[in-house]
Amino acid sequence: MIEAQAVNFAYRRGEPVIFDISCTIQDGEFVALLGHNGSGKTTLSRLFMALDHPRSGQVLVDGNDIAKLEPADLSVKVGYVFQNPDLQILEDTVFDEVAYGLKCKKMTEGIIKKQVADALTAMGLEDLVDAYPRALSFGQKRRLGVAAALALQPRTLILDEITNGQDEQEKEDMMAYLRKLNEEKKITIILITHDMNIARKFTKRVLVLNDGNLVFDGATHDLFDGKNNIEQWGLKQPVLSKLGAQLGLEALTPEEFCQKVELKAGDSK
Amino acid sequence: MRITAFTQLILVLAVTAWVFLLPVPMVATILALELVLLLYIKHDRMTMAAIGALTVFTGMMIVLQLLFGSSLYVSLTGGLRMFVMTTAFLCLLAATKIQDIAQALVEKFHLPCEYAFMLTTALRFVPDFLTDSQTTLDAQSCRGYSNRGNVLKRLYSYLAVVKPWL
Repeated sequence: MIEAQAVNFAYRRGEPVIFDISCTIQDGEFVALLGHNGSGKTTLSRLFMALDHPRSGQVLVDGNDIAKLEPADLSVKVGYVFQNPDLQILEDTVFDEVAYGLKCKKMTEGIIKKQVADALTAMGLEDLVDAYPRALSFGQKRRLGVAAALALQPRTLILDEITNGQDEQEKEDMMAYLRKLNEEKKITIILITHDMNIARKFTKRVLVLNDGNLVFDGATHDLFDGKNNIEQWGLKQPVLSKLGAQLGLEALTPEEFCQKVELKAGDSK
Repeated sequence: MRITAFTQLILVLAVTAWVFLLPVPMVATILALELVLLLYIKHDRMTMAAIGALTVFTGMMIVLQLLFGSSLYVSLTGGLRMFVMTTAFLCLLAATKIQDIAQALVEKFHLPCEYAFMLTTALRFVPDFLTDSQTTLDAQSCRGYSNRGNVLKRLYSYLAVVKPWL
């Protein structure tokens, strides 16, 4: 569980960028962190990972204040995957790349083998165990980044723009793996994204930041039901949500939407 | 009041000459003034990192000089001179746009455009390089990398940060 209590943050000598944010992310949740560029999404997530520390307020992970901790101390509880996978690849095989964190933690050979195998399987990379990481496709590199975080068996994953730069199929694959992790292994997922369709389709709860303030914290369908003017926060309503709101329908996929439209048309006849 | 890039370049050249001409206490005073000036101009993470890296590099240089038979006095003054010259250059970079430096080099010092271009191209990568190194450091920290332990251990573990750039 991650809890922010009245958190304020400013970069050194800079203007404050996070204002008095309080929120709790329970174990097993699938949460999207939304907001326009510069709204403070990444900054807030960095506070959750102890990459930065609040100027005032507290961040608690599993009830413990992380003010005195380093990211390395938290890595077994919280995994963080950065936007650019190329900036963290350092080994010559996929296996060694995923095993890096476990070697840092001085795990035994047996545990390393097992946890790496589990992480690779969870992200669909088990056939690429001996592949050269830099030769992977961008989508595979991103999954490798998640597997590397997952190998340390954290209970929470924070993923920064994890679907960026990928084609539709790769996005779907990535999200399917994440959904599986969330549903089967009960791993908490915090997704930082600009993709409203992904947020709408896969997450159950949304936190919206606007200029460093938490302006919405609630169920995903409540954000996209058309009653909130989300454009004021720099977000764009997904087309399907807009249509659904106009017609009084709720659907996650275009197929579901068409089906419901047909049913409604049938009813009205 | 703004000092032009030309004047600043002259000052950097002057400091470079002074460190060899002035007595050691004066050179140390220049260093103190430079550090105050640098931190006044720019007091951010990158500046602190640059000062830190320069300190480590100077320390290594002093140790190497000692290992190759120089006296402690010569090694320390050599390190101090190098530190003062480099810090003057850091002040120049912190206070002036690279384009302005290039323009001054071409127009006032009559440096061929090709060399000015080489300089600006090389310097342009420094901020990107520092940003990337910080991102890599953060990314590896999130995977368990920790910069703790003795100097040798820290240097070895720092390979995890250097390797992704290569």
